[in-house]
Amino acid sequence: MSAGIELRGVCKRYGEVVALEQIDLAVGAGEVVVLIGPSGSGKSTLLRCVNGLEAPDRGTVLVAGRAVDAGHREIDALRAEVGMVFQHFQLFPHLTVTQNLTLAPRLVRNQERTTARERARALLDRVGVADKGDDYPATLSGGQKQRVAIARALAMEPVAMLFDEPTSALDPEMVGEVLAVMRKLARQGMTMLVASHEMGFAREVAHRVVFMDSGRIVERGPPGRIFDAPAEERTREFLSKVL
Amino acid sequence: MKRRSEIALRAAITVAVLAALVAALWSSEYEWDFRPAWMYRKLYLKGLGMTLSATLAAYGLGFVLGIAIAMARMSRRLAVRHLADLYVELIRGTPFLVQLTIVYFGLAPLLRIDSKFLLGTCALGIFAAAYMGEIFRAGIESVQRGQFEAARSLGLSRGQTLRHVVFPQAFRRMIPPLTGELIALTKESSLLFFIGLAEMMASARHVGANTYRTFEAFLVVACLYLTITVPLSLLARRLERRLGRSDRGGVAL
Repeated sequence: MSAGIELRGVCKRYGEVVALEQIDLAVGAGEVVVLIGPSGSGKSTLLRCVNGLEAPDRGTVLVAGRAVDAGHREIDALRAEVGMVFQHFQLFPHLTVTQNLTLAPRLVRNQERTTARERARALLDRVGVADKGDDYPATLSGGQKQRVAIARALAMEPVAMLFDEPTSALDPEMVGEVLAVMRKLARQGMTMLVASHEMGFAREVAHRVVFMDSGRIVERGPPGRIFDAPAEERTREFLSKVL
Repeated sequence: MKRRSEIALRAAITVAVLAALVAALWSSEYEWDFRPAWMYRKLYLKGLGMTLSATLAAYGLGFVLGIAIAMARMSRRLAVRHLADLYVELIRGTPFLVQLTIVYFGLAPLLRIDSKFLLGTCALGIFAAAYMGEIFRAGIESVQRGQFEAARSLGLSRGQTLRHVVFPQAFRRMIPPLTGELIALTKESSLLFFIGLAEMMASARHVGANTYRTFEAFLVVACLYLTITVPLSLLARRLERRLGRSDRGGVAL
C-alpha cells in the first residue's frame, strides 16, 4: 500500500455542513477507484484532502506512506507527487501549451529548459495534441484543454492522479477523447482516484467503485457488483436515476 | 477595415471641434496676445519639468505603498486588514487639498521637513497609494482561485504561484487602470502649487499675475497638460485592446 493513497477516519465540516464523515479509503498502487454519488456528496472534498488543498478537521491522509498534513515544505513536495485534474481545466491562460507543461518541472524539479520541452512534446503527443504546443489555451477546444491539463499533471511524473469530474464541463462530443486518454493511463498502471458521473467509464476501467452520499461512503465494491447488484437502497435509488 | 474608417471619423471630429473652438476664441472681442506667455516659455518648461518629476516620484511611492496596502488588505490577520482598510477609507474620504494642507502646515513643522518637493510628492504618493492599492487588489482578485489551486497542486510554493501564475495574469489587467492613475496624478499634481512648489500651475499663475494675460497663460498650461495626458490615454486604450486580444488567445505583450 506504500505507493498508494490512504485516508483514515477523515472528517471535514464547513460550519454546520458535514462535507466528509469518517472516511476510510485505501487506493493501492496501480489501482483505479471511481467515486460516484450525487453533487455535494463529498467526492470533490475528498480529492482535495488528498493533495492538501483542504485540511481535514480530523483523521489522516497518507500518500505513498507520507502524511499530507505535515509541514509547509513537505506538503509542496507531496503535491508535486500527486497530479490533479480539475473540472474546469485551469490551464494557465498567459502561457503557451508547452509552457503550461514545463512550468512546474522547471520550477519544482529544476529541469533544464530543453529537457522539459522535449518531455512536454512527448506528453502532448501521448494525449494527442502534439501540434498545439505553441498555441495559447484559449484557442483550444474543451476536450483539448482537458487533455493538455492531464499532460501537465503527468509532466511532474506523479505517483498518483486525482480527477475531479474531468468531463463534466465538456460538450458531449468531447467526453470520449478525454476518457480515452484516462483509459490509456489506467492501462499503463497509474494509480487513479476519479470523481465522475461517467458510469460507463467506471464500469469499464475502475477496479473498485465507491458510492458516496452526504459525506459518507455508503457502499464500495467491484463495478460489476455495485452497478448490477447494489446492496444499499440509497445506491439503488441513485443508480436508477443516472443509468 | 472598419477600424480604419473609425479612426478617420474620430480624427475628423477632433479637428472640426478644435477648429471651431479656435475660431470662436479668435472672433470674439477679446484681443489675444500670446507674446507674454512666449516670453515666459522657460518658466513654463521649468514648471513642466517639476510637474513631471513630482508626478513620477509620487507615482513610484504610490506604486510601492499600493502593493503593500493590497497585500495588507488580503492578509490573513484581521488587524492588518483593518489597518489597511482604515488607510484607504481616510485617504479616499478626504480631498487631496485638505490632506496636503494638513501635511504642509501640520506634519512638516512637526517633523522639521522643509523641502517642498519632498513634502508635496510624499503627500501625493500617500494619496495615490490608496487608489493604486485598490487597483492591485482588484487585479489579483480577478485571477480565479482555481488558478492558484492548479499551481499549488503541481507543487509550486505560494511564492512561486504568485510570481509565475497570479501576478502575470493580474498585471496585464492592471495596466490600463494603472495608466489611468498616472493621468489622474499628473492633473492632481497641479494642486502642489498651493504649498509653493514651482510646477506648471504655479508657472501659469506667475505669468498671469505678471502680465495680466491670465486667459492666455492658462490656455497654454491646459495645452501642456494635454500633451502629457492625451498620449497616455491613447496608450492605455491601445494596451487595453491588445490585452483583450491576448486574453482570448495569442499575442503576447
